[in-house]
Amino acid sequence: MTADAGAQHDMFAMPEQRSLWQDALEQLMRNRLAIFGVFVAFLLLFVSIFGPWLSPYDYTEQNLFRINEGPSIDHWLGTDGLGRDMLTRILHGARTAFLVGLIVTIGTTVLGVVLGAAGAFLGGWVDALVMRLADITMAFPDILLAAFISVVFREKVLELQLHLQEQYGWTISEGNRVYLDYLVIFGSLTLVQWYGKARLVRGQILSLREKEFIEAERALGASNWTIILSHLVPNSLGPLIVSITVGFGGAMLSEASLSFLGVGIQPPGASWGEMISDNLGQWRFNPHLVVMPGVVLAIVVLGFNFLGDGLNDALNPEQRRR
Amino acid sequence: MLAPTVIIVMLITFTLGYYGPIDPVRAVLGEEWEDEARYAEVKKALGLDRPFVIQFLDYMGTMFGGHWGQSLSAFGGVASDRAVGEGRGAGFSGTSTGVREMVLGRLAISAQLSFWALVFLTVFAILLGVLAAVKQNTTVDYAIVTSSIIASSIPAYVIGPVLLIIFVLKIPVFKTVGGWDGMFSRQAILPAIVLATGPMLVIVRQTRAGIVEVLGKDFVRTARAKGMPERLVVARHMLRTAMIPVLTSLGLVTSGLLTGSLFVEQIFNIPGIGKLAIQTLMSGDHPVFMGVVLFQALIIVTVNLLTDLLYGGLDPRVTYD
Repeated sequence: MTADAGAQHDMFAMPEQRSLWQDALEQLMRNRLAIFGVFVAFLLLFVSIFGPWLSPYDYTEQNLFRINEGPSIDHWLGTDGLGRDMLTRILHGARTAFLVGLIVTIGTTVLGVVLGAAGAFLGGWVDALVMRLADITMAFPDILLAAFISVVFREKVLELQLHLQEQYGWTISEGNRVYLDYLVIFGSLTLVQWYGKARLVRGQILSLREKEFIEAERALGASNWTIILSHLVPNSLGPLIVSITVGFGGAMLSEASLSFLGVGIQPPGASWGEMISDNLGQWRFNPHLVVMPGVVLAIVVLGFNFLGDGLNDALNPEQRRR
Repeated sequence: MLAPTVIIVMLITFTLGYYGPIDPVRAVLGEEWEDEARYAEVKKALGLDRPFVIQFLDYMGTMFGGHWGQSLSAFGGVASDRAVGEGRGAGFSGTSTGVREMVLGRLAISAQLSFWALVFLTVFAILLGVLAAVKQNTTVDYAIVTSSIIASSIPAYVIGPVLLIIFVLKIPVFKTVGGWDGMFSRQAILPAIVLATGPMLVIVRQTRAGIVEVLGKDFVRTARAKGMPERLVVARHMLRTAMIPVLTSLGLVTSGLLTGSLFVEQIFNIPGIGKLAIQTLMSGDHPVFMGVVLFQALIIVTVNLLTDLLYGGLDPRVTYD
């Protein structure tokens, strides 16, 4: 009996069966640009954790005797206008970028999935409200809105901090002031960038719900939760992962943009965007001060874009371009 | 759909400005703000002593009435020095304090810049897209697509300085950079190129996809069969069919250029609309800043609507109800 069943199983089994995820991994490993992206992502993670121990200097440490120097043995990437070590500041900027990318991505994903799913499942006025909110957020020029929100937020956060200080004696040291900047950026970028994921999740759920296999599952008497957990979630995970990867790079880029405009990370905090705008006046005399943070920012953003592209090709086989 | 969206956008900007960090009265008075009588007087003159709802309705009235209100610099004081001081050069009315005049005056400069960027895009990006499609799946194709990904991923404030260093310091092609001296001056070339790199990938990809789709079509084979040179087959038959989606996306790109020019303007010190936004955000001249945000929101909403309608016009399967 068992042998019989085994034989029958062998007859119907495919010669080689791979799950979507195995297939996706194999596809991804074949894509050289995506491998570059993976490498960049891991390097960024490593540097943002261990950055401060990799360099003998502190990122705010000034040495006014050695300003605007080119690369040397002491300062591998030179020093800026206040004699701070460029390499140290770039390493610290990686921490800023990674933290912002991580927290903003978590924020937008949670907000996007909850709002998108709520819209798709509840329908009616909830759906209308979520979609109108998305339309309105989309109507704004996003960088200007984020800049506006962060200027307003910064004031509120500072007021709150003063209040806490007076009321409970909570003080924030000068060195930790940069965490307030982080808070401001997390809030403003999450508020501006949530809608992409909400629209994506809503669209996925609405289109999947009409598919035949869901109808079949329903006809077999599966409960709503079974359908959600075993069909809707796995099937919409692919596009969501791609959107998260691209969004991670996008959030880091937006942080650099806000800091470049002067409304993000404030000096002496280190952010690549802030370093570019800080040293922009020096482009004629000390071009390396502008180029180095710029090149690092470019490599990281490119890495995440390549990774997102590679994941898109790997996880959404029906959309493969070539 | 247009009006409610615009009204809510207005409400959000107004609320942010209302609870914003910079007290307009202080921005106007500068050092004098501690004088209580003067403070109350200016507050009344600006209409800030009224309740929120009244202020908002009044603001909506000025916006829809087409007047758009006055810059805080009209009332003198600190805000004026910072808001008006930097914008010099042709086409900018540096002395006007009406929000509409300021926004439209600066918009003219951004529009000229965007025009050149569009010219670069239509010439180079479409050419590259066609080339990539014709040489589909060869090294040339991969090189074009990958380099457009690179060009479009890197932000303007990285590409800008790098181009400055290359074309001013290393190979001195340009002598004077920065500022604005009309759209036909050499100063406009570099900023326009930097601005064009942003949407390059979209245009290259779309042109490539459009051409690839028609490569094997019957009408192309017919054209070849009757002995038409390949150059003309591409130009007359393929491009014409493939251009429709590219043209619609050029519309979207235009609104992106107008709203996205702020980094280029910041780097090259061009007194366009983006620069105006950043200046007024920093100096606390909220009436002008809100004017810019609302104006850009209007552009975005209108272009989105037009694109939707255009798709409907081109594709009879799309219906609106």
